[in-house]
Amino acid sequence: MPADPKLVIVSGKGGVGKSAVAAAKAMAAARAGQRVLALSATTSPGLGHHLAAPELSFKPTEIEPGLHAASINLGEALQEYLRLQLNVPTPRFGIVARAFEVLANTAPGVREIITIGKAINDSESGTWDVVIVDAPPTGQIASFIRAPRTVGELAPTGRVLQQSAWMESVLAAATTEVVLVTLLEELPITETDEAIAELAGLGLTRTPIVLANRVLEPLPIGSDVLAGMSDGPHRAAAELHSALQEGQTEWADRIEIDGTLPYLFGILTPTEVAARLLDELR
Amino acid sequence: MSRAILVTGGGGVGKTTISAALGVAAARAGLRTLVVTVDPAKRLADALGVEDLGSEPTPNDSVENLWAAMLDATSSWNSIARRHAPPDVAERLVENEFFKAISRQFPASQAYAAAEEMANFLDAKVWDLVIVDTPPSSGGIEFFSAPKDMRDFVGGRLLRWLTGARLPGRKLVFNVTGKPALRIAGSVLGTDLLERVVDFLMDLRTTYDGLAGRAKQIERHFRAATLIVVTTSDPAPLREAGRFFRELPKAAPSPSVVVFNRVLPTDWGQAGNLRASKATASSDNLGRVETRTLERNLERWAADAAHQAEVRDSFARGYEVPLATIAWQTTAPTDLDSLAALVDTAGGFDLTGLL
Repeated sequence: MPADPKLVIVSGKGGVGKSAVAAAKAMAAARAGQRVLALSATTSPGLGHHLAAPELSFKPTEIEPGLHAASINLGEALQEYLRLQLNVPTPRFGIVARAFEVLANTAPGVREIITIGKAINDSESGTWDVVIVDAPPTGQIASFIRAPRTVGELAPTGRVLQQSAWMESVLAAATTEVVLVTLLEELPITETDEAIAELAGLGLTRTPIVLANRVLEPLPIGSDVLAGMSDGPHRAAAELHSALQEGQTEWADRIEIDGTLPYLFGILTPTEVAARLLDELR
Repeated sequence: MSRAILVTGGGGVGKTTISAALGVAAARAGLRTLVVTVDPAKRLADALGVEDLGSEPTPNDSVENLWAAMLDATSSWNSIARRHAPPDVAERLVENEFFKAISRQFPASQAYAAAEEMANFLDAKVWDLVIVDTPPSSGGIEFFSAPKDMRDFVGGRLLRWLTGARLPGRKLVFNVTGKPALRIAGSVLGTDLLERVVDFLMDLRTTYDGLAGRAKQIERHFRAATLIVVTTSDPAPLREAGRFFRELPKAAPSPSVVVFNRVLPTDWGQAGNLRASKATASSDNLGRVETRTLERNLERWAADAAHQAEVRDSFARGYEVPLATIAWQTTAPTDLDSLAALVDTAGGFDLTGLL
């Protein structure tokens, strides 16, 4: 049995439901008795909507017993990084913060290290059993996770370098898990594949987990039966279902999938989506 | 006169497919048309006839008047540097570690690169119509603020944070140790790193005049363009689509139409019971289990269809914008005929009227 993850980083191409999965995972962990922090590390408000708390702030708010949620804001995260991780003394704070802001807009990895550093710091703080991050989309996930190394390579001095090395070791540990949410369609599968290849070089202990979302069950109706039916909605709906489902099977063969989540029919709100996915995860 | 159609919307809604479809329809209607896309699916790229990133506009083999170009942010950035900076500075910039990072990662950079290419294609006056599929990283309203964000970025705002109100001349070799405040920042970050950044920002600043002027022209092109917002009925892309009405930046035109993609037939909810029409069931030779399965399947999809219709109604009412609907395709259309058919069969709004 691998160790229980303390840091779960959830990514996926835009539109595949990664925030919903992150929200559902957080609720599942909380209901299993863990102290959970769900962190939004993207600019999209998805996570909050799925947790019925649309306005997440930097300070964690309680969603339900055992579950807190927060949203990482670059400015506040920078302040915390400088104070808690780099121990920058107050009189020097302003100018160092300014220099960092310039770097965050210029140098590779700096913006990301401030964000992922916040998640890492929270996961190591002892306050939470697990921190679940709604991370940037798959196209950016490797540079997000690689940020500590990238910043290390910029050749900064002492403390920044030390902190980067520490972050890298936390990310590489068996207690860090990366979850890639995908749909069984061409572009999401291609992006997931590329992300897995990029992540492979980053020294993670656990291989990323791939979850296929919105997966359709095969319709137990023979194609000969379908072909013999008269035109009408019943036939049209069955044909749509079968064609989509067969397309999914074809794409599913291109990649190794660790788990599937079902297509949800007629679901109305983000909160309902998360609640249904939660049932599936448990 | 070249016109532009900008196709925007959240991730995974089918922007690229719809851009390609509009392109095929326009070319077949006799307009010299260029489709500019960023990251198409393999089969769609094949249908458009583009193979390599950063390629120049390539004429399509099978459709007269149709060209396609695939953008690569990095190479677009290199040409931006070469266009707007003095030659020696430009060469230094394209090799610079920070410049490379920005061209890949600065949020506005891919959008700006796409926008500047759009402006170049329009100014070339080779095409009647330039259709731009906006980049995935900023498919939303950020696309329209990219010129302003870029102007601010290269304008020395960051540099002034580091060096104070007076910008150092390029001839000066910048020296962190000469500035007490920066020595403090340097002690945390490393003086060498800071000096490299300041050096780079001073180089980048040489692009300011050229880039600022270009940004204004790009914004004029934006305002004259036709804007199409694509969405599905899912909450995330819908939220993104709504932002075009709630927070539209000054530089953007109002959307002409919102295209709902992956739409299910609205009459599925009214379909009769399959068992009730005994004749059908028996003539179709359906057993009891099969009948039940088909009914249950339709019920579930009809619930989706009903939900979609509700979402569209409330969107149209809330934002008073015309909607077009494109039926859910069983397979992604990748050949030219099925692409053109998407535009012809769109419901609720005549998309060909925008071409």
